[in-house]
Amino acid sequence: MIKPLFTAIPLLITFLLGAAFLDILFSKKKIGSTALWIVFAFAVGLGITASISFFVLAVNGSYQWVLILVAQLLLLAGLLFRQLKKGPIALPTLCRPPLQDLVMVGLLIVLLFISWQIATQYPSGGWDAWSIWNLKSKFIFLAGQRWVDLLSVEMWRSSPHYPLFLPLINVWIWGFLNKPAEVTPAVVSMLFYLLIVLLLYASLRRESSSWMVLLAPLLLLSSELYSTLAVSQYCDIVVGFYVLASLTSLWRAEQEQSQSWLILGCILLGILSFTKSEGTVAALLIFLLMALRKFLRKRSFPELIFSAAVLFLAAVPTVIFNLFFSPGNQTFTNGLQSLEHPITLDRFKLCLAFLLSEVISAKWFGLWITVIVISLLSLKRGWQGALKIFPLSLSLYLGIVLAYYFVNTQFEIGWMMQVSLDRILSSILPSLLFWVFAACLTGMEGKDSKPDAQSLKS
Amino acid sequence: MKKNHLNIIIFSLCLITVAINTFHLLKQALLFPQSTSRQFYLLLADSFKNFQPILNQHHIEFLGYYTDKDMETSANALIFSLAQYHLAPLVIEPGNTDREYILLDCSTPDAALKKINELGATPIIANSLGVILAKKQ
Repeated sequence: MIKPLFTAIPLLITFLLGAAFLDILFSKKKIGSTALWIVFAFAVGLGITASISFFVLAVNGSYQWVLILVAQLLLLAGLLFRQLKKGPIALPTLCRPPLQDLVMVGLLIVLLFISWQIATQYPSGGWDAWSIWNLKSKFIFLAGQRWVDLLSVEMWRSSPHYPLFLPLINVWIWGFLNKPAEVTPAVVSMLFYLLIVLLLYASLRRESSSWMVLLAPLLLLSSELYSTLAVSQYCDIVVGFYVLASLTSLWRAEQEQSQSWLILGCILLGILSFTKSEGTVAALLIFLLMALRKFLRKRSFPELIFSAAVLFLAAVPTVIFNLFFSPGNQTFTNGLQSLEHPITLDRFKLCLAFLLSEVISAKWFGLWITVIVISLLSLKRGWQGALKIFPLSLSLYLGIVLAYYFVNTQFEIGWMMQVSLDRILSSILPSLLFWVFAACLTGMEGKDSKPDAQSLKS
Repeated sequence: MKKNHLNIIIFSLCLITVAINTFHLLKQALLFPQSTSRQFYLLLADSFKNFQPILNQHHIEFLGYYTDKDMETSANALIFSLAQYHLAPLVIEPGNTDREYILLDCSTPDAALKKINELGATPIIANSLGVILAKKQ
């Protein structure tokens, strides 16, 4: 009984921090629903926790759990005091939820049970999870001043150039347990899995009251491969969550012409950049696409500079990590320049062949085929208005990652694709599902790309 | 195509996919308790447990690592990665035999013994995977 409690307390502090921050950014009406409020409070809170932990680690030279706890409690007290001075804090009101939402809660409970079954099969997660992310967590937690050893070139097998978001979240909970408990990374990955499903549902639910909304999270929940990848403690579920969270925020910012959503979107991009190198690429790409669209439509430089400033502030841990701590990518051979391992046409063909065979692979049980067919059927609507940021970002992101795999000839392409293509695809799947369903549902209800007054009120 | 027809196609397609996936997921979920992967993993995880007290006792921070196996092979790389993970925050240096304590993962016991003698080391402990912890004189 004590263990779950000590896992819940740090997550509660993180959540409260995020909620207090959201309270400053939004008034209760604008965030939309209790589910969205919970999801975004966690999204921001986890980012704040990771950032504070990283600053303590960087300045102090070793992980000091007490310092991190005090810093977070002080920040929380400051945020609450600021809000209390303005008036009572507006918590979302709980009213009798519609049947559809109750069904969703029921599905989440079932998911919790099944994914826990999957998670317990691999106590330390998948190979790359324990040899990269959990190893980093152990170093930060146990090594004291020697934590920087994990960033040495000799540790190239554990990708020392990857940012530290996920390990710092694991270590934050370990601090309360006072030991590197193996169950913690599994709990954290389950939390992200739940958040991703809830975000997908709540974001679509805000667009439509159709029962079809339930199908999008159901497609994720029912996939054994997606569930396994999600709870295997890899960082790809974290990347997937922040890609979806930032894209939906930026999309809503344009839909509602809301500064609050824009700031939230840029903050989430900053956090995304600290999750993984692929996350950094995705964050920059999404921001550039958003900025380009804004520039072409409004030519509003002050708004662009403001967005860039917010992104930069949220990405300070990433900048510091990459400038002062990261040893650089130790597993990169530029096939464009290398005489020993040059790129070949066969390598390119293999990249495409692996991608094609992955989407039609029996291990996905038709999930990708379904998503592709629906996206083709609702293609016209999906490329209209602000929604087009989704297909543009996701296809370019996938293109960049595949181009990296093609150019990086350090490893055999077949092996690289075999071990990581399903994880890459799983990180874009939730956003892709949101896009196809949003396009499909707005078409179904005859909505314009802008929401009606009713959906804004809800 | 009419909107209604399109909706029915999309709805049916999703339902079929969800049904197929759910069936497979539940089938797998029922099989999980009998799965041997957990037992196998726990066995691997336990294999480095006995090394820890010795290394902790001597406050070892760096450990040499020698293998005559092909590290490009997944199974051999797995042993190294497992050792690194379970003995963290100790840094294991593959190919470095200059350290006082060295892990040896050799293809045969004879090859291990030969290397130990060559290094002038003494074997301290071995695990179920055949990995030997040796200390140089």
